[in-house]
Amino acid sequence: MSVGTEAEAGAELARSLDESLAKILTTEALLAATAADRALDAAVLGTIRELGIDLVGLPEAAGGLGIGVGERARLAAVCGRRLVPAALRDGAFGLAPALAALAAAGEGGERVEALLAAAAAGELAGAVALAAEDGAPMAVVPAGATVLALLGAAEVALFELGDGVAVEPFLALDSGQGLARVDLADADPVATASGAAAATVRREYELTLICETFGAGERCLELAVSYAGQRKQFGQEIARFQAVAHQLAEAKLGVEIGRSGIGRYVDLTAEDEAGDAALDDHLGVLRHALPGFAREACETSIQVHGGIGFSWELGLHLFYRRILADQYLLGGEGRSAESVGAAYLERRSR
Amino acid sequence: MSAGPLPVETLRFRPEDEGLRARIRAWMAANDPGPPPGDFGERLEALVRWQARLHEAGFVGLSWPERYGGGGLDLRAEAVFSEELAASSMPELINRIGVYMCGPTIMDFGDEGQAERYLPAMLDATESWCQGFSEPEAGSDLAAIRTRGRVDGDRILISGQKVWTSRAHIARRCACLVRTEPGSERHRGLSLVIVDMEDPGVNVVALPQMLGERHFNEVFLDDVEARVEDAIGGLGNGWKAAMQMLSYERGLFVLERQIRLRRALDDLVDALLDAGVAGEREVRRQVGRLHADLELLKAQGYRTLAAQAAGAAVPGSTSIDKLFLGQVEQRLFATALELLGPEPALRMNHWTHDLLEGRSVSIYGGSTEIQLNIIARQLLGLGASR
Repeated sequence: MSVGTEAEAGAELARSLDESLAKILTTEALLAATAADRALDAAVLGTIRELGIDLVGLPEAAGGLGIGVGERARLAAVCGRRLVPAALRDGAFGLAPALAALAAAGEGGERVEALLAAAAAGELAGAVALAAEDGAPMAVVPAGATVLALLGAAEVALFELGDGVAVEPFLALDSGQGLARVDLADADPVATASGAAAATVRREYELTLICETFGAGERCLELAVSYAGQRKQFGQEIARFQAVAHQLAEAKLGVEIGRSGIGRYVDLTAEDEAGDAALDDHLGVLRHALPGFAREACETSIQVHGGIGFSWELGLHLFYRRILADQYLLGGEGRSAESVGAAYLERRSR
Repeated sequence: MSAGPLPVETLRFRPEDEGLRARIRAWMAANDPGPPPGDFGERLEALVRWQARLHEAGFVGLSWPERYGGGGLDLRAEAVFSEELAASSMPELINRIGVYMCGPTIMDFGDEGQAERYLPAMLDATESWCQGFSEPEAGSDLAAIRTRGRVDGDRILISGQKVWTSRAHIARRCACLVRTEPGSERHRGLSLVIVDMEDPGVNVVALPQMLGERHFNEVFLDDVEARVEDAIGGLGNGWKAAMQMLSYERGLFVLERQIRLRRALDDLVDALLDAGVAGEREVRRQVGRLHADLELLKAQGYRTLAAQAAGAAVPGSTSIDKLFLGQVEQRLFATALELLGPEPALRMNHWTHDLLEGRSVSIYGGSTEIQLNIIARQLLGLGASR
């Protein structure tokens, strides 16, 4: 498939997924799940899985779509726009590729093959976590999850849940998603793989969270622009006041700079000479900056909406919760800046 | 408003671009002109000589058609040259306004006669250019231009005043925005006319900036004689040509600035390493933030250039480049002083110099407020605001 054709097919897939999800993931349903700190109804989750979301991170050889990083970035942004349940996101963009990497490395035997088959059939329940620099990793652990893939810098480790792994769910800011603290101190992985393929899995999962925040932030800005063009005060649309228009323009700046940053990353992955160091450096920049831009867009949206923006019923807080969750799963603003800065100082000192 | 494209294309270099990069790098290593002289006249001559040598080596106007003395290549080649020049310690092009802004505008909007008359002399800096846009009563509100161009047969007699005119004191030509249609208002009836700065009716007066340096000027025009055939895009089409010229200011220019800022960050990091504070959390965080700023500025510049190279630039989109450049530059030097500590911040040095100079970025070429208006109107589709 040529690059152009693939991009068009990916755009079409993203559009149809976006439209379908808009009908399935209504604000009412999302609010109810958040209020009760429970997952969406099984029927809703099943409908989303029927759209084929489980296949986006799998190679064709494993029964997946075999799509490229650019297309996955686009689909991850759709997850943010529509607030796809985090467990489905993690299964599709984190766990499934991790299993594929283990299988390709010949690790894990029949167990991994069976899990991979379940993933391709849209029936896998499991979790994925980024290895924490300090402390226990945090992960979205859905009901019925049997395994967890831990993604290190260049290593994938698969753990069986319940086998010395302590999962401690907590009332999360992004409630209803199944966030939990996972203690792996007494557990041994059942399969591990390291090297380039493992590093790619980790990078693309991080990129998923980054692009999800991007999509959520962009959607918040769209809502604010639409509202500001309709809402009248002092006899005119509030968008006509520079105090409002300039806030929206500032948020647009962040969204567009973020879009350029993602574009550059995708282009770097296509360049043979870019190398792992360049990819990790640029990804570190995105991990630091894009959740911040998304957060600004969401905060601006809340502000521009005024009282209704702060209300429960409008649901902007759902985007805010997701963006904040992703930002801190990626380390947070300061810590992510620190790791980027430390690497830069280290390179320069050589 | 709906979801924008993702992922967007950014500039990607081909093997031939990297070959060009290697050639430029080797040439610069062998042709370092050394530090420019302090004396203004000598410095000016040295800078003209430097651009002429670069042109002779075939590196100026790489994206221009060969028939105008250019390299016949594309914007990627131009980007490679800009990057290499900015990454070196060599001076920038003395006639950058001509090569990167006025020349491309003539190629896009002007006619063959104008191109033949003016383009070749831009490349070797035989003729430097400036832009005559702002006026005392037409700053951010550029459409309030009052400078009058009275059309008399094939002549245009220009009278009025321009201000903040960068490099007018070294320019031989000026792309001057004037009102040629009597009684016209706002964007209508304006023409972008090429003015000979040696005309006896031109009077250039220095307007030192806040560091006492001479970058811009007041230009008084008293019955200056120009020609109708030198109206870029023809009489009455000046606004469109002028806006296009401003958008050129935000393509290669941002890329080049980004690299100069990267050199400043490297200097800062070296100073922090020397001071033994590289392990401090605050230092690491701030360096990380600045690095992220510059990487994203580069990504944005590459995106803009890729769009311009494909002829697919979205109107208003370069305001993102301009606005972000201002934010990044001002944050960089403010943070540098914070990290370096009180003593360097109290001295007059290149850090404090650049901190002051950085205040200009959010004013020149369309202030922050104007860029925000453009983004609101053209990218968000919001109505005119006040």
